[in-house]
Amino acid sequence: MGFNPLKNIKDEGNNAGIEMYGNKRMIVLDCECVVDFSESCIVLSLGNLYMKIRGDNLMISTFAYGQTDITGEIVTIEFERV
Amino acid sequence: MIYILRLLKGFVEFSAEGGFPERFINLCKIRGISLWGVKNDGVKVIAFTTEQEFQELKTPAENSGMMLKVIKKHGLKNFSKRHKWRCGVVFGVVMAFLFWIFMSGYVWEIEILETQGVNVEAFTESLADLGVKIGARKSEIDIIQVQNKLMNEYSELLWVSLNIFGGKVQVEMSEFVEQKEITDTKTPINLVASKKGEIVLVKGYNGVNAVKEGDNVTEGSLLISGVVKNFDGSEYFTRAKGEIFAKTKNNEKLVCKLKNKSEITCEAESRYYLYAFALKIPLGLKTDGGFLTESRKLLKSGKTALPFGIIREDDFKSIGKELEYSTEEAKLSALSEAVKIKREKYNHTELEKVEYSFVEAENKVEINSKINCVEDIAKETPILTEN
Repeated sequence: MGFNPLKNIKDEGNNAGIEMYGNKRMIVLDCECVVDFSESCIVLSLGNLYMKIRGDNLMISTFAYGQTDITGEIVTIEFERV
Repeated sequence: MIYILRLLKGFVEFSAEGGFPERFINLCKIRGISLWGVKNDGVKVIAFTTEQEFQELKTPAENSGMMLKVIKKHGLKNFSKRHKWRCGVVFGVVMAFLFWIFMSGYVWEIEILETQGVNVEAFTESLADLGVKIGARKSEIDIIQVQNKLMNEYSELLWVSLNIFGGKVQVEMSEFVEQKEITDTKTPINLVASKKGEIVLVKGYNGVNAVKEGDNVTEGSLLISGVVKNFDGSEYFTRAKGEIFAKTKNNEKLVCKLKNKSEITCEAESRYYLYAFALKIPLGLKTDGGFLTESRKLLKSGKTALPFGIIREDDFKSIGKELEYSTEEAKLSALSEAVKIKREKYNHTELEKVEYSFVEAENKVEINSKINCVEDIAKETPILTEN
């Protein structure tokens, strides 16, 4: 199997991943739940990690079928161990 | 594509206020309710979901303490429900669609390409006789048969091709390229004088010159001989070639009658037609037919002519009238005719002297033109041999 840099966020064996399209769109795979949600900050739970996305006009475009599609102007992404 | 599917299925734009938006979103996910365009402006959450799934949102909303409110319902179902009283519009759209389908089965434009040497009007008439005309049904046109018949009718065509693009018939053709006449260079000939005159220049290219500058020749005199003698006395025949310029005197006679019948053509009347789908609706009374010409002004969509427009028909009538010339007018008419003939006939000659004299007779005027010029008088004649 080839190395997939988008599939190493969570523990080994899980399929969580992040795809980014510039700073306007971001797709997070296998997000467990939304912890916090506002126009300037979205916090997603990825199992052992919290992923904090900061920016402007943030919107959850899709939240279904195992993928979370976030659009808006993304400024920072932070990871925090739980 | 997804948007179109959602439109067909129908979706709801709603807002949720109070409580915990994150919990609401998570509960929706757990229950498999798909949300999209989720936005939190700090006061309320605005999102979209399908109509079917919106009914299932009540439990997550209650559990997260949110109040749901429908903002707008989107989709075909809601649109038709909103405009259910406007059935005339739907009927019109359906009829327009059916009309479009029906009309696309007919020919509405004929384009003829590459028409060098082919009379377009006659060709269009031939096409119409074969069933290819505006308003004809496309399915009734047998392309191969039309092509073959056109090939038989127009022998000058090398090939002809009929293509149908939508409501347009495009006719493409190519004609035979005329081959240059092969000039005979082998048959032995003599060059003789075509008229009497005084030789001024001899340019012999092949054969034996029989005349020289200053000689006077009569019609039929040998100028360049095609019979050449060898040093040993034997002879051989060749094709004489050359130019013999001579001063010649020419007389032309022309008669102009004082009473002349001539036909004057004048425009009598124009008639307009409204043109729609190959139908000509007259916008005026019919005139007695003379020589009719037709000009069309059709609406265009890009380069394609639409089957709507105005046709103008001009009815030209010919009036026969007897003109009576005065003697001076007859002289002038005869002179202009004589000058025209001189230009045509003596175009490639060097004119030395031109004289015109008039003879007046009863009911006519005669003009005599004396034209002295230098011209090439050489004429080819075959060498007659025994056996």
